[in-house]
Amino acid sequence: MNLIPKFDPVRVFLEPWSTPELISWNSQVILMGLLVCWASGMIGSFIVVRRMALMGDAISHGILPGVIIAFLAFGSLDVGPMLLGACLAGLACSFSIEWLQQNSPIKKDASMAIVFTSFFALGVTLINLQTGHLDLDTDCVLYGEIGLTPLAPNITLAGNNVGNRSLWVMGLICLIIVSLICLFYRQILVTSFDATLAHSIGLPVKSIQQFLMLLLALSTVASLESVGVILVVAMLVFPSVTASFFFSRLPSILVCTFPLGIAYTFGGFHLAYWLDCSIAAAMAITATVCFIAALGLCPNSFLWKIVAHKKSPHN
Amino acid sequence: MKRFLPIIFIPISFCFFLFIGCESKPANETGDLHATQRISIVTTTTQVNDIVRRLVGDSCVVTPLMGPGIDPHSYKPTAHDMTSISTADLVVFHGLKFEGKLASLLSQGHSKVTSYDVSSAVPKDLLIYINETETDLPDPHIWFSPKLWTICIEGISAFLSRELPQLKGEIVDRKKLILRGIENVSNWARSKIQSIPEDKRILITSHDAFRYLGEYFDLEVIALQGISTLQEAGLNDRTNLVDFISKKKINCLFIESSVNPKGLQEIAKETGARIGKPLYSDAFGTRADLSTGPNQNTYAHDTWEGMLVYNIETIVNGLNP
Repeated sequence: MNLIPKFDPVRVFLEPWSTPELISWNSQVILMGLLVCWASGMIGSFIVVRRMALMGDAISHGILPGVIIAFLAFGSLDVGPMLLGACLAGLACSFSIEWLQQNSPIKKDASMAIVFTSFFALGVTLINLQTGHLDLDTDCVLYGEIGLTPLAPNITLAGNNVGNRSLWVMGLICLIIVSLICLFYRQILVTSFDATLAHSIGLPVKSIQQFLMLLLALSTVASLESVGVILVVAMLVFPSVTASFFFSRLPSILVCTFPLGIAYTFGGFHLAYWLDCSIAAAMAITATVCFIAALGLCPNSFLWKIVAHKKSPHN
Repeated sequence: MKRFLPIIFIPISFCFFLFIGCESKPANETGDLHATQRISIVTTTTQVNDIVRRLVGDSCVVTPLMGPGIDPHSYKPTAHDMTSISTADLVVFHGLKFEGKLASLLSQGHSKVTSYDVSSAVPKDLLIYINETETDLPDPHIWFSPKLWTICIEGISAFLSRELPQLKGEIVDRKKLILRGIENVSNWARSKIQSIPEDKRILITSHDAFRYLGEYFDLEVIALQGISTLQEAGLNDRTNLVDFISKKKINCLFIESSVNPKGLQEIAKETGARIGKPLYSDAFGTRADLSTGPNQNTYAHDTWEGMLVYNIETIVNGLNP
């Protein structure tokens, strides 16, 4: 069986950029990929440090009741109300997780698991209560697909077409995240690594952590709407973990998010053209490959130890 | 910190340049395409593909996004599907949120893609609504009603004749042929259904796709799951269904080619009912599978006629004791 298609460089690398329509379409896809990688990667670096790497997955499940309540309230499946409901539920989910951690002896991973399973179960129950015949699922009403980014409606400002709505939303969120992290870098850093120290030097630890969760929830819901679930969950974790093999200081890891985002996006995009699969999945696979390469090649890698062991003469 | 800021802002400003760069592309693609090469039409579901392919014949390249057996509710486009959409001259899709997010994106009327919503031809009062009182969510499985599908075919052919005026004559001729075929097969199907005893005309399936079929051919339709294939059956639905099957002494349940049969198989085991051959619900079959229908003609399962002939034969063979 011919599972993997033949690798044809012209088809894989040149065909996607061969005509003006394709260039215009694919550049929007690439741009969306970069924005999601950067936004999620930046915020993910802090989330991973706080040992909450699966927050993306938690939020993607936690938004289900919000989507259904929004449908019950507005009676339509349009993206606007769905996104509003998802945002509110995402915020509620991340705030509950944060609150549980701060005000109960429960550990982080357990509090995440408790909150998101409760939210998800509430959503499933709401669907069944409402009616047995409702075509309502986050998969088909909310989650987007990165390859379809250019189909999102255009925004018109004062009669001028200024471009794709999804791209603008994601671009703004990326900009907000990056600039806020730059502005409050020191405060976020201290609270993420050592909450006791942060408290002792007079920082509002709880508010800063809640604020980080707010950023996370917003960027996750926006990314879910435009690129789908797998990419968001992957991009929160992979950039910072991969970079941490080579750098131990957080600023370097944060800066590494940018080249890694570029590598994931272009790598995934062309991989998807080669294998003819979903672009989001291909980007996540590229991230995995980069991770494995980093694992093998990093300064303290097990590979070097094996090599060194063989070279050293046994007496 | 001061060294850190510019490193962050350079990529961001770069990305905003890209923004401006990719939005200012002129959209001058409409004029010269018809003259130079064969027109390419992208269709989403197998139902739409069947009609469009037969209406335009060989004069256009018709690319289907979903193949036989693919569930449109959970379809994920691949990289080449994306290329097909972006380079297509026309996109014909089913609508009524049948293709999930893809349908909502296409129905927002994007300027770069000329798209046509097949379901838009059907008047609102002919649709079956999922929840009659408060919402306006129609059941998307309209092709199961020959009456509604005829309206849709008229709509598709009007759209194609408008977009491809040079093919108008051929399209109208082919449309007449298709409509005659549909009428033939649905008359045959009606007489076949009449052969089932009246109290046995109950169709039990995994998901609720056959309401239009039931409405048109006088079958009572009951489904384990809701309209969406992604939903799981609640416990209450299940118990009710088991009671109903035992009370009415129903002897055959029907699974579907594009839906997981597990739920219904368990119910069949519990009630002692048989499981019939899988019906075509959300997707048609392949060209290689054939059924013999009215006047001993053979019909391929990738066409509407083939789908109906096969489904009706399966239902009649299953329900007749």
